[in-house]
Amino acid sequence: MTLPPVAYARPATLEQATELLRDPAARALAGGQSLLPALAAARGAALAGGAGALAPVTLVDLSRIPGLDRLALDPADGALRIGALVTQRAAERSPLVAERAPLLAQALAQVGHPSIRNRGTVVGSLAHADPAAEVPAAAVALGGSVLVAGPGGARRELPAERLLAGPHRTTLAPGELIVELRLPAAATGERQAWLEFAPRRFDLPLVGAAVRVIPGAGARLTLAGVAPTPTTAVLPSHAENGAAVVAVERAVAALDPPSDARASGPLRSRLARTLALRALARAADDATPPARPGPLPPAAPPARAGDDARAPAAALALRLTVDGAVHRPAIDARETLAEVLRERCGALGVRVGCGEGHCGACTVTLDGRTVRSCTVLAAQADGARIETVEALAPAGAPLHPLQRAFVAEHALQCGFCTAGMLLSARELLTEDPAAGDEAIRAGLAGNLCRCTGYQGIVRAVRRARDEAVRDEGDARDDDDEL
Amino acid sequence: MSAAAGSAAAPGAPLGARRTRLEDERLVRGLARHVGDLTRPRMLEAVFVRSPHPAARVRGIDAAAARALPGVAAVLTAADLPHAPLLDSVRIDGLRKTPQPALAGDRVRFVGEPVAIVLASRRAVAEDAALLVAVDWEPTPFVLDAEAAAAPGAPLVHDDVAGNLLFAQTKTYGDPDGAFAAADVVIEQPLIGNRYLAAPLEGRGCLAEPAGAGETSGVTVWASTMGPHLLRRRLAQTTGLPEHRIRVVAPDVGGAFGLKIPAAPEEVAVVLAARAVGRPVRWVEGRREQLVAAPHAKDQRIALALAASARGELLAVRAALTGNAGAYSFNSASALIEPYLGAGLLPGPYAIEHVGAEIRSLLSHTSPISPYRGVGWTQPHTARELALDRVARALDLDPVELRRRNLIRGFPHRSATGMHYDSGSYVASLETAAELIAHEDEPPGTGVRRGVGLTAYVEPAGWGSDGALQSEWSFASHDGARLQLDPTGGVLAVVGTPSQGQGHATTLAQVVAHELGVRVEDVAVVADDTSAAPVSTAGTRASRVATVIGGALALAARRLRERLLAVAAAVLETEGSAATAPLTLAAGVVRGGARELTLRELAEAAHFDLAVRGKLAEPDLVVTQLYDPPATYSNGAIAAVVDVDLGTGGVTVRRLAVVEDCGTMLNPLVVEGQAAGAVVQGLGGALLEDVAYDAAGRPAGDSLGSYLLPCATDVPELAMAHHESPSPRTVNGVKGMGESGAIAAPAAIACAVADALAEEGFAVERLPLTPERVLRGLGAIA
Repeated sequence: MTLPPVAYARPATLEQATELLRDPAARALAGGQSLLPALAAARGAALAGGAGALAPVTLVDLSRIPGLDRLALDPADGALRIGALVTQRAAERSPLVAERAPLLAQALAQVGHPSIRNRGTVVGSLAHADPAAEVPAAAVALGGSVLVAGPGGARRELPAERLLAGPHRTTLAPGELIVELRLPAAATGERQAWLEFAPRRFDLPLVGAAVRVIPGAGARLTLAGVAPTPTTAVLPSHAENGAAVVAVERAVAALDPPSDARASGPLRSRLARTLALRALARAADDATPPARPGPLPPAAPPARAGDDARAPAAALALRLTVDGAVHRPAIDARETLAEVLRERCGALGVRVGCGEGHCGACTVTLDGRTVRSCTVLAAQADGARIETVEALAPAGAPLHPLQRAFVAEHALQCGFCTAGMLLSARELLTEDPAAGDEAIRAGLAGNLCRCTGYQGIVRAVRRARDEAVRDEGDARDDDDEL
Repeated sequence: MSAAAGSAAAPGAPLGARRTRLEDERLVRGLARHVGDLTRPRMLEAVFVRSPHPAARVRGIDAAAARALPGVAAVLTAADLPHAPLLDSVRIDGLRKTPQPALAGDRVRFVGEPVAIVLASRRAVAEDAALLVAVDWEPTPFVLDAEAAAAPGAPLVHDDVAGNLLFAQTKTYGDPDGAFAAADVVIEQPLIGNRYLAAPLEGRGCLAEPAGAGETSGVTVWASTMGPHLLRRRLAQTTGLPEHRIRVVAPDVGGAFGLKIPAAPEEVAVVLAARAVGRPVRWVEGRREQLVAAPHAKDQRIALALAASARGELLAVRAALTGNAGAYSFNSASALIEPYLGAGLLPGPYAIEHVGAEIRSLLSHTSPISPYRGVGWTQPHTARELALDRVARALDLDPVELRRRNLIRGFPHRSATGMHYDSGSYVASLETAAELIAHEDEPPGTGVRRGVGLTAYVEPAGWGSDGALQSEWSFASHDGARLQLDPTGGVLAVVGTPSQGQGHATTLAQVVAHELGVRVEDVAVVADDTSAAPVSTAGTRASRVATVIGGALALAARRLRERLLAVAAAVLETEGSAATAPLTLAAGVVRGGARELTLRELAEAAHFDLAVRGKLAEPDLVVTQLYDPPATYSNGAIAAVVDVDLGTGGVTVRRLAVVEDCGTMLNPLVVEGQAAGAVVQGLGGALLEDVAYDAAGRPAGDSLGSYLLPCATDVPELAMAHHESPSPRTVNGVKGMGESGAIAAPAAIACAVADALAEEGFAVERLPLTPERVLRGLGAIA
């Protein structure tokens, strides 16, 4: 459950990055939520009786390049510009995205789980080019394009559908890097919807459907998971309209979706038909598709200035603040944050359950937001403030209200998932203090528990929520008395 | 809701109190320590080299490149680590033996079987090195499922097991043929049960450190295990060390559910390797390693038939139960746990007098089948309950009414297969479940079908040797417990059954506190160390700890209590003040009229006051107690409401209700937690979880991205209720529980899906009920 050997480089400028990326073994690393699980999975599969050693990789960390974390409207044409370091979570909760590209906001809310979206980037998911994933389909559906930087300061722009070349393949040449995703302004009165299906709600979909209903111009359907890249068809605009059904069926009949271990081609066709019709009905129904307003999570720290680690290195020294204590471990570049926390910082409250970002047991907070420490490259956390479960109640201090609620409601049995569950629950209640059952379940869906059936966990989060509301009420009463 | 019928527990008493767990503060603070958290000086990390082939000959292993990697201490193969193979340990006539090596020698039999162990200073280096070991494989023909394994000319998994047939037996109870001939209705219900697995969040693992030297040479092993004594026994058998030189410690264990009962071949290899290199060696199982190479579970192919009269009496059940045993019959019992145990419970909670079972267990080139919650019972139960619903449909009877007519009402009841059901609330539990699930609910949307499934179950619980024998299973299952009052007045309860999340530190303390008359907090349960605990022959399994170990501790506490009262009398006598009233011990204080003696005072006197000690017949506050209870059976009912989306094939479980009757409850909070966990594991088995070997012989479900465990969004809120029918046979009427959801929730959900789609002509014949299977069954996709 470790990563393969990697060399690590942390360029300070786009020029340095593109230069480093000319190496065919180099991969651009932003949030790493697609790339690092893929590396871990390939190695894990090889060790579990799979094929042999993997090709060496150089990870080019983009996170210290200034300016890539911008999410803004282009004053010239009203296009939404999403920089390469904008996280999925930031975009999902951005009022700009909700307003200008609700389809993207809806799709992002389905990408993995909060602790994945806190770290994963919109552009990174696009570049990962999974044929079933939400972001590539949304980018194509919205007529997006990417601004690409190349060696020597070269720039080019190309449409998202020409970026995507096939499953996990793009048309980027060595040395090229996506700087931002541009989504043109929606038409006046346009309504959008995203629907997807997977056996578990937040998994990578088997099939996803994006629909844009454009007044006077019919509807545009984009499907994920039915072809090597997202496919688009033009439809009449109303689901009730028999013509729309016929058009959807014609579009679906023209597909020849792949069969693999996750789904057969016929299942994908069926899902495409169902989701397309439902998305069409939804887009036709909802004047303003729901995009959650809610407070933004704590602002991301400004990108730290790049340092001199231009040359790829296999070892480096870090500075980490873990539960308030400063550590300066010397590490191998390939070490994950989970490994460093456990083995070099003594933070044994961090549990590793899968090493590939699937189970959530290793959840910690990084600069105030939950992440899965098994899929964070420790080198990227250099300078960060980490909190593990031990930060909730330092030794000797009384338990945190969530910890108390977990005990009171029997929300744990073996306790292996508990640390991650507590930290996810804390973030959930911070962002949505009135979270109802559905929001609680959705917010914790990325943290697997094998013992409790989630019954006590949901009750405990509810209890902590209600106690916090009561405490707040009490505090207000006290104020009144003053 | 509670319908207590003469519980041993009085209001306010520790036994039966709904109280939070003593272990939890430590766990929520992140202070647990698992095998992967432990280190020893000079420790090496172990990583295994595993077979990529389901069947192959090993022509050679070249580890030169791996050994040359800096940080690698050793690469060891079977040739370097001589040992006796692991063997299954159930004595049943006709069961063929399949010795399993810790490391495969010249032949591998499933993908993931280990052939070498790599030791290095760091795990990453050991993994790098493992990938550099070059094995010269000669792939050979393989067979993956039981039917194919039985076919003439199928490749043999073990050369000396002809036809891959590990075991075959026909069992007949009563006259099933006659009953079927006389029946008005006969329903055939085939079921291909999925292969799934426990998948606890913490994988397997161990740390072995050589101990002693020369004539005292031995080993200390910290292992993520459910049975430290069981592991010690296997290690003794394989390494040749005597058991008193092997110390097995179970630190915190992150879930187990049956998986950690057998000794892992890897554990044996780690111990052998540690002794070979003379350094501590730690192995922490990776998730993919677990999903691919750890034992799997279930995987029965069933052809069941149910015979009924026109009046809705169930007359007979007959089933051919074929277990896919995998490549080896696992060591702490055998692969028969699936079809053989399944046969014994075919009548379940119903008065079915005629039973026929054809049991077969076949080897295949897949990971071995070992226990997982509800061993053996889950899939036959599902098949029988699906058949019951179809009988109801054929007779136009309400499925609940059909069950009500056939549930056992009088106790004790001897089942057709020889189980002595001691007491229960079979009908009442069914009715309570039906009430819980009846609910005003918004109607399903367009293109969505709703269905209800309700199943009654009986759970052979609290396994002692008698319980095992009633399942025709010869397996010594007795336990000793040691209880001692320490000089400061605290109570130490030492047992051989560690907790993997079940809460023994609380529930067993409640038993002791109740019987002894002390506070729950004054009892420390120690269950982690073979060098401290009396031998537990079976370990933490088969819902047995509350009954067997709880019983042993209760009996020990009663004896210790007598001794404490004797100490109190001696103290008073020494003081020259006789008690003015009979001595009582409650809440840690002995009262005899005006005089009060705390436990601490008593303990101090009993240990150090020579005058008091001189008056004691038994001047010893340590009691050891063996208990091997008679068989006992828990019961209950589970109901589910599902929505099936015809557009996607997706099944949503809207409601679940569980009614549990496990006799006297030690702690309802813990009972409900266990019930809920088991139900959701059952939900996973019904809808999501499938190892699904591909054509190349590799599990498709090889990561937690492809092997789908239920998430919070897959599970509704459970409605839960209790009945309490104490066992007349066991200490305090305790029966044991924890598996019912794993046994019966798949049936409730499968029945609900069948109900939802009955008009569409859909029949459940294979699990899990994936969108693919649902839509195919409906004819919606080709």
